[in-house]
Order: sequence, then C-alpha cells, then structure tokens
Amino acid sequence: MTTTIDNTSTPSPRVAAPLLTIAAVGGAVAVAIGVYGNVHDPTGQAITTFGFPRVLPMKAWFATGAAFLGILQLLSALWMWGRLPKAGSSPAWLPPAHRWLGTAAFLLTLPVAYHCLWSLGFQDTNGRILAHSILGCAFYGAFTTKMLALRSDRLPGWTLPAAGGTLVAILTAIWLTSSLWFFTTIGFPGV
Amino acid sequence: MKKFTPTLLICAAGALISGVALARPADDSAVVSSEYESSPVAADSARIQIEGFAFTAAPSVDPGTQIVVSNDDGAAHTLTSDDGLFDTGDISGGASASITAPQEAGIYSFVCLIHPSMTGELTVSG
Repeated sequence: MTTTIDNTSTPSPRVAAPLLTIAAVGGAVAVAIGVYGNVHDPTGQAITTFGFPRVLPMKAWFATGAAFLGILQLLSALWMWGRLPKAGSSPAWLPPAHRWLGTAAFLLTLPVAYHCLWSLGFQDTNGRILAHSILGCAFYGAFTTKMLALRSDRLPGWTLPAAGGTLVAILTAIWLTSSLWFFTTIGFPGV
Repeated sequence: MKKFTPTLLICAAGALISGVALARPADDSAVVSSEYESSPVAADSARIQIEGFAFTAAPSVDPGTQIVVSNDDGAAHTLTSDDGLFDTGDISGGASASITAPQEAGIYSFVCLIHPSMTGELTVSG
C-alpha cells in the first residue's frame, strides 16, 4: 500500500476558507471605520481629556501607552513561542499576562480613536495625516482579524504570529505618525 | 471554536460602547470647557479667518491687540504661536476664538496644531 503526500504549498480549501473569512471580516471593519470617518461631520469637540490639558496631549500619551504595551505584547508572545533569546521556557503566568497587556493596550486606543473619528474625522491634509488615518482604520481591522484567529482551531500555525506581528507593526506606525510627531513638534504638555 | 476569555469580553464591550458613542451628535454641552472655550471677542479687534484649511493673511497689529480668529471650515483648527506666546486652543468648525498680540514688536510664526501644514505669520508693529 502506498501513501501519497501532498507537498503543494497552496492552502487547502479547508484552511483557505477560514483564513479568507477572518481577513475579510477585518477588512470590512477597517473599511467601515474609514467610511464613518469620511461621512461623519467632524464635531471638533471633546468628550473627556482624562485630566490632560487638551485632547491632543491625551491622545499622544494614550497612544504612547498603547504602543509600549504593544511592544510588551510582542516580547511576551516571542517568549511564549520560544523565540526570545536567552529567556528560557515561558512561565505559567505569561499567557494571561500577555492577554491582559493586549486588553490594556486596546482599551487605551479607544478614547484616542474615538476622538480621532468623532471629533476630527478621516483627514488627508498631508501625507502624515493621511497615513495616520489609514493606519488607524487598519489597526481595528487587524485587531478584529487577530481576535478571530485566536478563536479558531482550523487555521495554520503561522496565522496568529502573522496577525499579531501585523497588529504591533500598525500600532507602531500609528505612534510614529502621531505621538512622535506631537512630542517632537509641540513638546510634552501635560507632564 | 475556543471559549471566550474575560479579556476578549472586555475588549468587545469597550469596542461596542465606543461604536455606539460614535453616533452621538455634536453637542455644546459635551464640550470640555477648558479645551474649546472661546475667549470673548472685542468689537474693534483685528481678524484672522480660517477657510479651506488655510489662514488668511494676518494683519499688522499693535502690541496687545485682541485678534479674532474665526474658523469657517467644518473641521477643528488651532492658531498657535510657534514659541507658545499665544494659542486659541481648538476652535470647532464655525466657531471663533481670540488671541492677544504679544507686547513686543516682531514677526511671530504660528501653526495649526491639528493640521501643521497650515502656517502663517503675525506682524506686531512697534
């Protein structure tokens, strides 16, 4: 009796279908946020500044906090997957810590994104602002895709690291196009 | 399908609340006063207009002159001195605010903090 091994690199329909589904849902979320930002008339108002003197410093610091936690999530993920050099095996507390770091990072992004969308809307005044607007929409699409990937047992093993890496990369790019610009251009108000 | 964790439920709740809140209409009562409060406007003050994501040419003013900044765009803007000598704060679309010209003569550059491509200069004559 002989056994035929399929060495083709093309994903089987059984794998491709859930991959395409979570990617499509994430894409739909990103597009929906972009559409809202475009059609919504910016209010120019603020709901809260969480004690910061103005909205922009609040957004800059919250985004910085989210980006920092995002980096910690990346490091903890590398540790869990045994890819963090000299770290040894991951302790039992690491997976829940990884989840709570991500939750805190996500929650920090919400007031930032809310004021971006509701108060300012999707803008394309210059390249930095256009990139920031697109990245902001893409972030929640990538987040949705990652959350769905976490729930599924039918995806290839590389899906979760790829989704998480994409999410951290987008978050870092958002920080570079907003908080870094703010701190280097305006300074550090609220400190 | 794996079980839902508390962290996922918290994220979903936060996203849901934020999503619903996006439907909130603009409301003056929702404005944080320290953020968007407009200063009183004097009847004989100079004026700078914001329209089409650009400042109109700023007039030459005397030291200490009150300058009205009116935002005729739909988006919020600021008029902020590069060296921090004056700042309107965020001016929502259709609203106005005022600044006071510096006491020393000179040319003062300013920018919109929200849209840094918007720049201008204020001349204070001696």
